[in-house]
Amino acid sequence: MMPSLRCRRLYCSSILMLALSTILPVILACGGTETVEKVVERTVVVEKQIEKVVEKPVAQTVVVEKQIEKVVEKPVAQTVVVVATPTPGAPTTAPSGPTGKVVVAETRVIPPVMLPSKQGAGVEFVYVDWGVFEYLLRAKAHTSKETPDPAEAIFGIGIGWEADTTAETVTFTIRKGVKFHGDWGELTAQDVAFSFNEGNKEGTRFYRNTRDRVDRWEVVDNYLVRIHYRKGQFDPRFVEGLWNAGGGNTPLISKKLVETVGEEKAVTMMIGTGPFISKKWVADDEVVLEANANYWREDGQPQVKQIRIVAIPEEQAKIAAMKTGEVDIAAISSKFLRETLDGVKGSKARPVGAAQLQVVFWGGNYWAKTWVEEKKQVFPRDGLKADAAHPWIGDPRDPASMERAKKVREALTISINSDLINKKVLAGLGRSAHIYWGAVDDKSPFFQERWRIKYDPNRAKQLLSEAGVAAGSTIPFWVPPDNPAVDPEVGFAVAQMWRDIGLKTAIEATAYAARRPTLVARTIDIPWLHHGGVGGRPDTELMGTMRPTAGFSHGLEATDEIIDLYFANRTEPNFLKRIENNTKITDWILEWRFVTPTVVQQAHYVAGPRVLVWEPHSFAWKDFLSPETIVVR
Amino acid sequence: MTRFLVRRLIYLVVVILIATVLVFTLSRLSGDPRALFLSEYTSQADWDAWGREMGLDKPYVFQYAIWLGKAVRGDFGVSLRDQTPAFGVIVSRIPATLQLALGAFVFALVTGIPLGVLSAVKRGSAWDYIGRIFALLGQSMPAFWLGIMLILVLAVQLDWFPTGRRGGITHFILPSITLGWGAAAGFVRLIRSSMLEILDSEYIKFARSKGVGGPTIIWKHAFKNAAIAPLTFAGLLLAGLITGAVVTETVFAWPGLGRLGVDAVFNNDFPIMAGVVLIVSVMYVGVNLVVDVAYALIDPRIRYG
Repeated sequence: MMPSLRCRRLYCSSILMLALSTILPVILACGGTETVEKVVERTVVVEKQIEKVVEKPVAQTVVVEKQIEKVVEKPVAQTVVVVATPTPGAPTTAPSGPTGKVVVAETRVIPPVMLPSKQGAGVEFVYVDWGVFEYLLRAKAHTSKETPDPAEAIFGIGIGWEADTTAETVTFTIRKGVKFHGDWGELTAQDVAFSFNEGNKEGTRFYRNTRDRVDRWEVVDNYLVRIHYRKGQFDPRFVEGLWNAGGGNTPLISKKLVETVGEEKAVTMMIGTGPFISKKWVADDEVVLEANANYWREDGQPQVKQIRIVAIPEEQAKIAAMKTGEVDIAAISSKFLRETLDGVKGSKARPVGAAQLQVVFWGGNYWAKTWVEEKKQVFPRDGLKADAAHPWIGDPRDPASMERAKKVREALTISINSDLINKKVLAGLGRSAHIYWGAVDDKSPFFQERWRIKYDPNRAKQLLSEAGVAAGSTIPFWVPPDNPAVDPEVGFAVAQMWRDIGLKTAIEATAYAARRPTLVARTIDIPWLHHGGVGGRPDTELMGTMRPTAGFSHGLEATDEIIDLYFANRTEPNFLKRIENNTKITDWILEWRFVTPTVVQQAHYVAGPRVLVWEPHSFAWKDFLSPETIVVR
Repeated sequence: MTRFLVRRLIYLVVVILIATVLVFTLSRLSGDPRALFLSEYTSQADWDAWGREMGLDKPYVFQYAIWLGKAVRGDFGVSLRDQTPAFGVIVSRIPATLQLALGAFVFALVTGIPLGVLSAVKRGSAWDYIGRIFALLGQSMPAFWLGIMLILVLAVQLDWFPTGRRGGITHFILPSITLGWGAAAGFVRLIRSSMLEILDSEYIKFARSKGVGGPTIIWKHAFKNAAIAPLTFAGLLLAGLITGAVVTETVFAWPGLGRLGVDAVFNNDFPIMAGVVLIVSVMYVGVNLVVDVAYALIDPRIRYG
């Protein structure tokens, strides 16, 4: 056959296609003012009752006596408690100004969603941590060695408050002179009330721990804003729902902006009051932040001119970018920390954010009978399958079943060598965990020796035998591979330790998103690995995720008595009583081995040689934070 | 020809409709999207209100009909994660994906064609072995491994290229190689076998006996006919490169459609999930149609009818 006209056409079109293909990608690829700042010198009046606690000797040979000052809230009979009042002070000169650029690699860059009511769970603290937005209250600057004191949370936009426990209100004084980025003016009480009410409106998606107890926020005047609690819902720990040392709080936004441009447009406009201004924000790609020259906080003046936060999901690629110097700061898992530090000359690891408990939740133990808020009976849940295939699940209607299942949970708990996991998996950078009460570690004055988990594989085997669980029985174990706060390697180690006592462990590696609906629906019936916060205040809420709601649960529900105690603790005005209640809850968890803490994992970021100073604080989520403290070469 | 085109277009619409039913059903089967966003503080009232807002309170068939009605007008709903119209989010990712796909396609063509031809013409020589090893490696190396290796060697050790991310022309060389090597391997094998068959044919022997020179025989007489099969393969390949770059996009932090789709699955962001699959389906089916028509035009043995 001789070459035809069609073949010639084909040849020409091949050449044309090749030429077009070469050109198209290329086309697509191209696709000193002097400032004088006023500093407010504050006189802080804090009512404190000082108790001196003497630590008990922990060993026969060494006696350690240490005086610890414990802040105890004073029980109040009167209607108004003035906790903090600011007074103006003398001006000082401003620092020399920000210089240099820094590139930060994050595993993900979340989308820009400014309106609180549109923000899904767990994004709001990123916006604050990255320095664009701020919360109402700010704790005194703190490091990982300090626990922030709510009484001193007057270093932010809110500079004082008056709590009226009878009327169930708190009135906050707003700092003057705080400016929104751009031309959106000064932040006032109007903006504060708007931010909270917007996040609180019907149908909100906002994850916030004061949502279910706040009635409304009211503007008293330009610099006074008042929170009204629902009847009987006054929150004695209200500071912790509003400050920067915790998650689930509300970033403050501009009312004027939302009213001017409309909600639809405002939703992605990242206009806050923080030390950095968002110049570009593309989800899953990059965020460009520039130093805010008009930032109000004297000790929070940005030191670098520009921060680029880029999304690099693959860890090896992130490490490579650190090695080539394309990236200055990157989140690196414990497993690769040593390798990265060795590979990047002059780099340093920095602990970032709160450490995370790695906890085994014994899914399927739905023991609650009543959904208090909705006044509904919820027992028995579909996931309550107390049978031979689910030996860790106990049925509260059958005491024998409860005892058997308790033995199984106890056996699986004491078969976990958490010290070894810390040493081998976390490179010794974590620690063993004994209780679910994340704010209390074994060095805390509130820790009880009876809570310590003692590794004992032989007793574990005996307990399994007593519970009738034969050697070779299979224990399913869901280890989410993609939850940023869960280390799957810890889960694999736990699974291996269960194998070491003669069980088979079937690891389920379903993506977190695919499994979460079974947690909300209370149908999960297998043990699973999740995380819990560490640090913060010891009077924190415990068991909130183990009560019946329409939302998230940890796949198990405590008894009604324990849930009652949880609710009582939410409104308990006395600090020591709240600690006592948490102690009772922890004792109950221990008695039933309701959950099993394993290790505490601390997130680390590696900062390259260009980063001279960076002091990420520790009472936050484990993402990039404290950008204003960065100084680069 | 018109009847052929009309029939193919009807097939195309039916295929896309089936794809939308599958996508919509699967995205709903993956669970209630509310379950991903709500905390333990959620009340029943919140749950219900948000369900109404998202149309989840309506029967499935109604939900599908409403979604389809809007989708044909380019309205895929509002992304649950981004809180902006899903269509805009998807469209914003297309340039990155096209750039990567075309880069990979170019790599596949400029390496696959010469190597395939050389391998056939110099059968049994070192060139043949090089071509075959190149093809073997391309088809056996997983993209995630190849990508990391290229980064470690060419970016970290030799410092020739950036480690990833979208940027100037140097940024898409490593991802293009990673994505395109497998495709290049396909070209090498196809062209080699076609060329071997044609070089052994009577008309090539006749041309040789007439004294026609080597290059003319190879490029003018043999390659033109050997290229028919690879050309049809190339169309499908380009569609595959556009739609199948998830791993490469992840390794090289490339903000394309693949990563968007995977993230949407992880976030149960069904407006994005359904939109990505719909757009990708349209692209794939569209390219298929073009290839079918082109094939019928090129090869006289294919008849319209």
